[in-house]
Amino acid sequence: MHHSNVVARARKAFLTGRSKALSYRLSQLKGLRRLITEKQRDIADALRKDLHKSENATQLYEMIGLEGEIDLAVSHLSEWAAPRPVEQSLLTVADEVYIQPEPLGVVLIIGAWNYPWAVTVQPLIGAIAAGNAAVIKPSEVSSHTSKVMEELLPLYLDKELFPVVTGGVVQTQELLKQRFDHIFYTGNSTVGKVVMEAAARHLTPVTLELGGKSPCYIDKDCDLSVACRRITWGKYVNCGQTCIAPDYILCEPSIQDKVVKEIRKCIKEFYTDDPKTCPDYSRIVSLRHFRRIVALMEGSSVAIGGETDEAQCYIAPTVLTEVTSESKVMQEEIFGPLLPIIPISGTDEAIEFINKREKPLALYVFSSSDKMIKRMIADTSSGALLANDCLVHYTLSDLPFGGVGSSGMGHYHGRYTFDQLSHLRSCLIKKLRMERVNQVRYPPHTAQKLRWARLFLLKRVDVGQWRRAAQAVALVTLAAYVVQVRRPERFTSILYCTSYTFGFNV
Amino acid sequence: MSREQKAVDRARKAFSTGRSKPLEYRLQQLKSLRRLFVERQKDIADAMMKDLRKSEFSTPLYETMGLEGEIDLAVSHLKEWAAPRPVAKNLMTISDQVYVQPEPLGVVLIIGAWNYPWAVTIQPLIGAMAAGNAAVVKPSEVSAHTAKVMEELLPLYVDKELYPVVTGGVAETQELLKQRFDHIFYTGNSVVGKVVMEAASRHLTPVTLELGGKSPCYIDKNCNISIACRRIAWGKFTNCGQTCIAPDYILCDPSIQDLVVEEIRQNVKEFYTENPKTCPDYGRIVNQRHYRRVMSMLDGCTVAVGGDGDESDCYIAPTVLCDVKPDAKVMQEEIFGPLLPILTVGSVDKAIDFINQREKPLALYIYSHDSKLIKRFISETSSGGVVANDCLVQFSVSALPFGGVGNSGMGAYHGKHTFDQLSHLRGCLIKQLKMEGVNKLRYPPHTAKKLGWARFLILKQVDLGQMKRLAMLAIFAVIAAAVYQRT
Repeated sequence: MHHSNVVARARKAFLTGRSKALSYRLSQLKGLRRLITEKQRDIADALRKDLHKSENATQLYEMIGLEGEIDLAVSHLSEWAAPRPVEQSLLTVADEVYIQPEPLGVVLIIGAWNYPWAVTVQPLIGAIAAGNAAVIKPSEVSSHTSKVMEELLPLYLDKELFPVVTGGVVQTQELLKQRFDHIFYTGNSTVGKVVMEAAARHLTPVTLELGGKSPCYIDKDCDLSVACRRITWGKYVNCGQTCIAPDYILCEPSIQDKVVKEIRKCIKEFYTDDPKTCPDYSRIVSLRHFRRIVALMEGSSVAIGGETDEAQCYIAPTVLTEVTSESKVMQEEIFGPLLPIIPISGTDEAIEFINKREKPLALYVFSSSDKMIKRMIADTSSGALLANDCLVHYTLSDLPFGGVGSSGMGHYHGRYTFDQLSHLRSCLIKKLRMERVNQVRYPPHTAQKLRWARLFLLKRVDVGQWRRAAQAVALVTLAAYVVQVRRPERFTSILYCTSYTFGFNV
Repeated sequence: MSREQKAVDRARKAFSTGRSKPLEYRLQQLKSLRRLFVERQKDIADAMMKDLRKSEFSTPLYETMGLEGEIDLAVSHLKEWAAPRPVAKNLMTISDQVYVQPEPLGVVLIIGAWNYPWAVTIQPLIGAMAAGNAAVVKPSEVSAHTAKVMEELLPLYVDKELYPVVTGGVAETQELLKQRFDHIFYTGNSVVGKVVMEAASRHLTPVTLELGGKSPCYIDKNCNISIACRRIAWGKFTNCGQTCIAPDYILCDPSIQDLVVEEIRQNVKEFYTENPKTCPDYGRIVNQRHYRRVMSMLDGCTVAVGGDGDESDCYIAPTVLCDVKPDAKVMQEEIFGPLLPILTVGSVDKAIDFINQREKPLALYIYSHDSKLIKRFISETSSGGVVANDCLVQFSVSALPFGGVGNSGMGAYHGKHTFDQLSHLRGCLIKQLKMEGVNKLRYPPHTAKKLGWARFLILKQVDLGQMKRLAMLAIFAVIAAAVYQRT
């Protein structure tokens, strides 16, 4: 079906209003969850063909997270979708003032190939929860998964509201000509610009989850054994094809050898002496990317690994040394299993190095010094910052996941996805009464009226706080009365307890 | 290097020094900005009189007082807004620090509009400063006198490198848009909005677009039409209709049209006298181009009130048009002028359909006593914001996010929302290099058993907050029981 028809049909389906009812959204979300539990086999098979992922890896790195997000959405939907009251002021004390989350309409979700289910379906969960229709365009690079999505989603979800459109660049460009109410794109910055430009033509807001080179700073005074273990895991999962993989290491020359030694140990432990035969070690997704990554090794020294096999798109877990900021491997996001180590003289130089470059999606700091970590946070910028581990901030639904600058705009996960794909509409419901108060604003404007208006607008009375204070006083008085009648000496202890509970320091 | 490039370059260098980051600096700049409004009322009002014929009292009422309020809010809440925002913990992060840290973005470009030049140019600036950014301020050249005053006064009160004012027209704006910013905040129309967003896409710069549209105003025939029309007349003719959230047109039952016309006529007289042209509180159209644009919309319409104009003065009388048809010229674009068309609709259904057939507006106004009806309008339409039983006042409620949806814009601001819009909310997770045993589950070799445990840990999102509350309640119950037992 032609793309404009698919989008038109989704819009028509949205206009019927059926995606708005909470019960409908819940039924769709539960349908999606069933897909994940019932079709594990099909999903895992396709991912093995696309990326050489083991079945357990698929579960661990993609599907469990999605199940969690669906469960979260289902259990919290009525709270997320409810009107959100807003603090009242003197001006609005007699009015209803709240923010009403609403669906936007038809969302376009353009997925990526590295964690195709995670990055394509997680936005979909939020889109469904927010009451939208969504056109899903999985990445053609992970072609087997794309096919499976095209077959399975219509079996579990409303096929008009949530159509899957497969295809490559041409099909994506066709889609981008259509009008959407939000476009959610995961991928690289180059295409990100194209997406935003296309969106500008229709004034469509966008969420761009891009990438970059995520630095990983290792403080020389930390537990290198544990640090390197976590870094090794974070780097070589999915063969380095993770948007938040630690791209390169910054550390002082004095610990470089130890770092290499530790990483070598961990690689052996995770992937055996021969990662090529290990079922838990993946492959590069395509020949094009394979060649791209191999070329990045040029000019650097291989400290670990370096073996490749084009026929299998296999690149061994590799560590590079003698790397400078001019090295080939430092010119673009690696997105592969090469881990360069760049020597720096200390924290100052590390911060300078990081700040000279584009803001990354993630910044990793390994250190036992809280002060040092806080300094890193204060003196740099990145989508997110994770100290003493890699990747795991991804699993925290309460942290907004997204980039800044070149690494992206907007964010999602958990309730953030819901909010990102909703319109948070301000609602102010007044009454056709108390018209006398409005006299101050009507012409003829006079100095006196202005003075009254000034009083109303500028005197910020926190109505909420007054109310709470009044309640506390009432409660304490009641308690005091009750206790005093029976036991005067209990009065003091009750007073202390109640006041402390309500946050007043007596 | 062009003048625009230089200004941006200097702002970026100034930002890189880090001086806009400390809270004390931000507070000092904000307080200084506030002094500008207290000390320079006369200069500001004089320029506004020349640009838009705003009276001495209109300027503070509709522009600068609101800004003083926003500055006061920012100053009193800055510490709270800029502080790390704790995030709910779960079983996995129980011993970690998890929070969202607001950070400055860098250099923000603020492109202002001419209708409330101070309000829409400075309010984003307040948020930009509060969030620790540098900001290039580009006031609208259409309100030329005000642009000049801004160019002269701002450098006297705020850091001239961090917050340069760049004046100019289309060419200068285009030159600015070629530069790289960390956020662009634009107030104006949809056509230019698209140009701004397209320019922003070249640098992957996020944008806030405060645009416009035709804000419908529905009047329920069973409401207090007298009060309703008073509020509508005020909302419409303030600033000669040149307000992004002015009620653009009225939808009502044919049976009340005459009454509505009468009520508005009376209120116009009360607000602006028999001869609005001589009334100091009645504004003017900003220039001849817009005068002609608005006057041409009278074509083919029945004038019920007003209708006269004077091009030499850019004066258009407060005008009401009745029995307007949907295909009339006045219904094809945002009026942004003192023409108030009334379109009659036979039912609420038809009114809702009419609204939904058009682009999502910046504001939707509903006048009714019937709470159910109001809720129905809200749930069956979409718009930037909704106000029942009044006009314009949503602008002054800082706690409400002010912004559009669809053609009326993207992003929102006012109060803390401006701060958040112009900040990067950075997710921070600080773990320790301890408890490595737990992590075994995630390391290869991946086994079914490990997976089972991982599933348990990830999916059991134990709400710690709730557990804490339950524990406190239990303690309370025990204390209460103990006290009771002793007495």
